[in-house]
Amino acid sequence: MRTEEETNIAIEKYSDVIRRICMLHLKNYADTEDVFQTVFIKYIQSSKVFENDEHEKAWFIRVTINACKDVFKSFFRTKTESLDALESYSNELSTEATDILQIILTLPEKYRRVIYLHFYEGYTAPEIGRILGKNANTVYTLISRAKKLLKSELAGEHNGK
Amino acid sequence: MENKIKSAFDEIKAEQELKTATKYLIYEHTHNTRSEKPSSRKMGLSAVAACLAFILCSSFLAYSIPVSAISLDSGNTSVELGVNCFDKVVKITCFDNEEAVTPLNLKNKNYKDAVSVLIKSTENCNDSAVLTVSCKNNKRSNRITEEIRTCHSADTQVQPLCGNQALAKEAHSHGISTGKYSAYLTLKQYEPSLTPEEAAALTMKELRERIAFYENDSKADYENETAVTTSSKHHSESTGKHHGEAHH
Repeated sequence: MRTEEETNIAIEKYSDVIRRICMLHLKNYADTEDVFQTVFIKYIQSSKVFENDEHEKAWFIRVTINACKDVFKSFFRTKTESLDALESYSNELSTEATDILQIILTLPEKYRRVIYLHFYEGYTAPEIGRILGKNANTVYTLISRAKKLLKSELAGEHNGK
Repeated sequence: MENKIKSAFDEIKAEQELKTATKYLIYEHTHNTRSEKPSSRKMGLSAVAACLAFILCSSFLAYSIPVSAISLDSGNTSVELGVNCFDKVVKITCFDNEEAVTPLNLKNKNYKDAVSVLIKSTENCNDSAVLTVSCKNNKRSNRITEEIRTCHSADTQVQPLCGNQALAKEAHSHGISTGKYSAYLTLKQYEPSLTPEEAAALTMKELRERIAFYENDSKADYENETAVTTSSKHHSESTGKHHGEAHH
């Protein structure tokens, strides 16, 4: 069991990471709130000792992805309509960021995850494999396909403009 | 492309209200919920503990409640043993000669051993022991009676009293054993003025002698009566014959 103080430090440290993963998976602010609560309650109840900050961050990413998957599994969630993911995001975003994020959100979920973990968090394919519980080769394939898709989408948008 | 993705994700930050709400939830969780809501493991443990307590209590009750009674009357010893469903003596009620029964330590012994010890202790009183087995269950009563009969000499009288709990209660209210009270009731048929207190002052031998006296008496009377009736019948028959012959 962890103390309230330790958990508050973790909230400040990892909230942005968790929020980004939620944005990629969930289209509802209420679901995001639920995932936040689930993740930090798991953290306070866990007695896992982390080797370093990177290890702790990987734990948060894995737990958040699983919590997001659980939201989709729930009966209620499958029977309700959701809002647009970016609409539920209350802070102001630049036009460029909105455009690129909207393209990413149109891609299948498996690509969205690897795009975030590889291009933003800078994880290698084997590291992503460990976090997602997937084979490294599968992750390599996912990354290259995601790259292709993104490029074509971005080119399409550019041509459209 | 990578830079674009990075800067787009950089703009995504957790809302302050989201952090505050989560911190508040953690505060509530550490201050209230942790003490109020027991974990499933604790709940499971308490359920197991409750089950164990229930089993222990019911076993204790089953052990401590007597389901049958064996009363022994011999000489001036009058004692009743309460026997539980495991055939163990769990209650000893002395109506007479308590000082001789208490040192025998009969409690928690098998009833057969307890009865043997009791009979041995009353051997010197020149009076054969009378045992009365009272039990709600006929089968159980007969089994105990048979087992005692097979273990002891023919001098020892064993009588079953099935399903007569009211008789046992009545006997106890008068401060005498069920066996003695049963003998008193038999004697009362011949001596209607006899009180339970007077019967309590008598030994079992004396009670049995009195009963035997009346029973032999009535038997003799009955035999006499039968003899008289038979002889009068014979007489009338023979007279009839004689009369018939005379007619002829």
